[in-house]
Amino acid sequence: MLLAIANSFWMPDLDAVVAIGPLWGLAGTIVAIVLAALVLGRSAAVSSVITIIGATLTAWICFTHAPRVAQSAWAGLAPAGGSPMLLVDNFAILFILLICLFLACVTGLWMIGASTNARESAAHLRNGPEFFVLLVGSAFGMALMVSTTNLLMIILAIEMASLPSYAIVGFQKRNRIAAEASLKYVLFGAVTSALMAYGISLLYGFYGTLDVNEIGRLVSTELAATDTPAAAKALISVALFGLMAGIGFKISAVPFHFWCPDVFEGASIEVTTWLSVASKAAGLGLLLRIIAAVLQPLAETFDNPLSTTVAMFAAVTCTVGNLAAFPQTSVKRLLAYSSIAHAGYMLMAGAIIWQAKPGSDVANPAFAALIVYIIVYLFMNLGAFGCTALVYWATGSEKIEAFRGLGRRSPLIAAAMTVCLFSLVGLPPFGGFIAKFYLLMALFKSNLVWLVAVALLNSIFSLYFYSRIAYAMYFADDGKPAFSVPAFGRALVIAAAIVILLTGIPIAGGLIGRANQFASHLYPIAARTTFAEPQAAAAKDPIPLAARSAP
Amino acid sequence: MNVNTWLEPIVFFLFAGVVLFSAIGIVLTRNIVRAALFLLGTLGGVAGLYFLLMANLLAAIQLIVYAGGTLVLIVFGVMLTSKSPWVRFAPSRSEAAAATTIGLVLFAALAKIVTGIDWTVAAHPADQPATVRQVGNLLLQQYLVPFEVASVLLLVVMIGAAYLARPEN
Amino acid sequence: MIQEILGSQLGLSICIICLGLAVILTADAYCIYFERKVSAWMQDRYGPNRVGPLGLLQPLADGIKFILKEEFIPARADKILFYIAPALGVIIALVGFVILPIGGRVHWSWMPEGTTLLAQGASVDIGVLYLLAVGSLTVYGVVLGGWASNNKYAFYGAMRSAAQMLSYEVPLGLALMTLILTMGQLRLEGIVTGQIDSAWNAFLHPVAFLIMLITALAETNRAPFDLAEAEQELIGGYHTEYSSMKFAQFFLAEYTHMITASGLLTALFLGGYEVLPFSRLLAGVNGLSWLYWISTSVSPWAMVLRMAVFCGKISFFIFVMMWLRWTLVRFRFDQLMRLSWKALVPIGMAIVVVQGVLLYFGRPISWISTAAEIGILVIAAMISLLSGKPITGRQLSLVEDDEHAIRPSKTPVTV
Repeated sequence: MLLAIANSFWMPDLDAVVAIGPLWGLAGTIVAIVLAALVLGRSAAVSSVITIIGATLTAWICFTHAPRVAQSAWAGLAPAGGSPMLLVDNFAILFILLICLFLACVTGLWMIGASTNARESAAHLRNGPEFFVLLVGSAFGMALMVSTTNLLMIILAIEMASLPSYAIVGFQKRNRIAAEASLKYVLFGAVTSALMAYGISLLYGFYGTLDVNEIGRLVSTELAATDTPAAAKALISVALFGLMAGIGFKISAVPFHFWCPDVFEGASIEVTTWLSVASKAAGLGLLLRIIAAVLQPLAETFDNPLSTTVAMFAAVTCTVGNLAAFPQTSVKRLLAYSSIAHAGYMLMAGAIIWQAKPGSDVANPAFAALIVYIIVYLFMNLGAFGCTALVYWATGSEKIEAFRGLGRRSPLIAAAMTVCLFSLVGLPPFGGFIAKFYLLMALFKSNLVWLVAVALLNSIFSLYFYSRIAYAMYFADDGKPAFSVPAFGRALVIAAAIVILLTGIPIAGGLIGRANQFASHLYPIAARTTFAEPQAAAAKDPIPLAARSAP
Repeated sequence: MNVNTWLEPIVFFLFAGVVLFSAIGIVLTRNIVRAALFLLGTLGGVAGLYFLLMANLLAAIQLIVYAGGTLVLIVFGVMLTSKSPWVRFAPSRSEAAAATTIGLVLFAALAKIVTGIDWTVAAHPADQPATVRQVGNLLLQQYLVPFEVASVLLLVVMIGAAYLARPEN
Repeated sequence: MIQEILGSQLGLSICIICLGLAVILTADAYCIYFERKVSAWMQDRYGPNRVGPLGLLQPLADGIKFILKEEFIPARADKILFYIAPALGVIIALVGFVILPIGGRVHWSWMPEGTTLLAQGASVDIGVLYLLAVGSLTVYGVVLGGWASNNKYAFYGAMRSAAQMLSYEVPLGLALMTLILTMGQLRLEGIVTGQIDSAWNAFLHPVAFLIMLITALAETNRAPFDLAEAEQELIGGYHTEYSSMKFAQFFLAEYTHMITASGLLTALFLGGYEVLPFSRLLAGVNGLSWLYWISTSVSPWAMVLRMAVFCGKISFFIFVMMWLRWTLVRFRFDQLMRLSWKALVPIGMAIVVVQGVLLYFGRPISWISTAAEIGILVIAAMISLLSGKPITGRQLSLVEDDEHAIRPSKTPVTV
């Protein structure tokens, strides 16, 4: 009898197991680091190499998956009768690819830091395996965030991405600022997680399902119906707000952004780089999935307030980020506020409503714009933080004063930094311009002219504080001696700068074409199939009443 | 004579009373350890209600995870961190107002849920197998992926916690 | 009327609960007497022998003394919690015993033919989990008592107790998991009948039994795990400030908890109310068929005998606990933690995995599971010996930098 039970377990078939290959890659990396630490001893070098290999392998798996996914509209892992827990579509594959590439870059940055500055990285060097397990763990969580539309998985994925992040922010245990940053991060994260869990449980209570698409359909019918009382609509908004709080925390959208500057300042610079890009990319991916699920069915029937709400949040986030960046003297803090502002720009894509026309092959402009933006943003931030890290390791300071005369002291680094900064502003010859231009065009087409105006104004604001660093580098030389930086570090930032220049004009067309191509395959809800052909809605109450236990 | 007809309401109101009394106690007490004790009453009372509803597994999990695990950690943390055991909470007016508002909103949301669900129960399922087996089947079938992800999460978090707690020599 | 009450399941359960309550509270008092006698015997003394024949009325005298003593409450204690804590301890210790399968099935002569009743307090389909749940609450009496006293020794005792409980619940859960895996159910009486059908779990799962025994000692705060009291370091630990009947309540809770834990061990590992192992096989032997009759018959006399057997096994475990208490020295706190996290937890995980694999490949209830568990224990012992770091030795990482620290001795301290 026992064996019969064992055989009745659902075993996903091989295709499904292969389909979630990228996730296996990241989870396998975690296991490999732990096992290597057990067998080969606790060596930071071994762990970092395994991380790079694991990230590269996962990226390669993504590459091999992408064409198959595009052909067969794979949609993930689900038992018969259940809603899919994991989606494996191009959207997920692309984001996981970006996360893995960035993971490899951050690990590279870590290695450079470890080779230059012994005192700073001592904790990291001694405890390499732990650091990389946590880093890859958060990457795994981010990969999960972009590949699910199940509320239960969303909670787990966000926790998976957050909890290790708290630990790596406070990784230097002796450092008071890091400990304080970590504590703030934990407290803020705990509160937003609680809000999100409440929102999700309310949504589950309202609709009896965990599938976001199903909930989106039900929400839209309820909101569009004229006989729904205003109070009920308000309650739905409360639940949705709770859900969005968790995501807003990950992308540091404005009411949930307070942790961002302190954490970016307190954490070591590799961790800051990691959090500034990967966490945001994953959060935006998840946000777009949810927005698409909730907003798409709304679009035709209803002049919807949700899109307006997202637009408001985006505008406020962007403005607050840029204004708060003005008085900063620490480059890390300045870049933290800049990342809040950029989260605002990217959030604007969420306000775009796009209705898929049957048979039409036109890509969703919001997705296409966001993909371009995130790719460019990844390299801009990698470059900017990389330069800051090199300057910090060489001079021991991350203030703007430390950048004085950089144009003479280390011209290549200064040039790379300048490229990144002006690209962050969104000036023409660089990738940032293309990204912003494409986003603004998409907004313009969706009749969100006021958002375009907000974005333009903000870009003009931001020119001021970004150019303060550029000014310090070239026009405020205080005669400090030149310094040399590690060759790999120089190579990394220069490579980032070159990519930004390339995306600026030469390959911009190709990038946008690719993004459109990707976006047109993205998220075809109607065409969604799973291996087991599940019914769309799960049973309302999966656990029936028990038998009376009294004899 | 069917005992259940009069015994069940008595037990229900007993447990419900415990839950309500301790819930109010948590809000009104100003001593944090007493609040924790009241929380124990609430959690235990809810577990009792689960037992009454024959959701035995849920009741046991409620006790093991919340009353026996989380709350012990809370008490532990409170005792270790509070400088004096006689720290008093003194919430300001605005805090009380905010808490009341949030409470009312949540109450409204829960009321919507409670009124929106179809509560009619099918004929008493006396011959159904134990809930433990059903939950186990769900965990290993429909919810296999979250289950496995949770185990990876716990592994990573355990490594992080062990690192943060380890003395640095 | 009596027939009607005893003939209904609810009535019978309530009767057994009332009876059990009376028996346990009396047994608690006599456990203290027994404890003193055992310690005296082990230390070559007489022990209590003044009040009544053989000192048998000593518990009564103790009780009266406790009630008459002055009830002292420290000035800055949290009075409400100070009162509630010992009572909470007793209540939580008492609710566990209700599901112990002490009697098996019974049929009264006035009942319709073929119907039987279950002679135990309650039959819960999540039996083992219920005990785990109640067991996880026992810490509150100690922690709140220690905290409410506003005394640093009491506070240390409470902290130690909380940490100890949290740590030892993990191996306890793992040991229980091997049983749940192989028995396929959580209902305690089902586990007992399963053992009567095959063999006692103590033979099939010796390592799980050992882990369970150790954690039972730790969960009841008994020596060598009585760090929460630790007279030599903490005066009396969490009950330092308690006096009079409230002090006695802590003892009541401790001994009740011992009884419940022993009952759990009996039901899970020693075949519950079965007199001798393999009684089904022995029933074939001439003159031994009564063994099987006691274990399975629905006659009321068999039920009474079963209850007696169950109580006998509980007494055996209580004696073992006292024996250990007066034999072993107390662990130091880091040794305690290491024993749990570095010895019991890995071994527990290993046996869960091995039993799971055995289960997958066939019916595990055979000598193979015994051999596998003993093999794991041997491997663990080998690893421990070869690595040269005794589980209960000194905390090397802490003394390395301290030049005044006592160097660790070469001889391993064994458990």
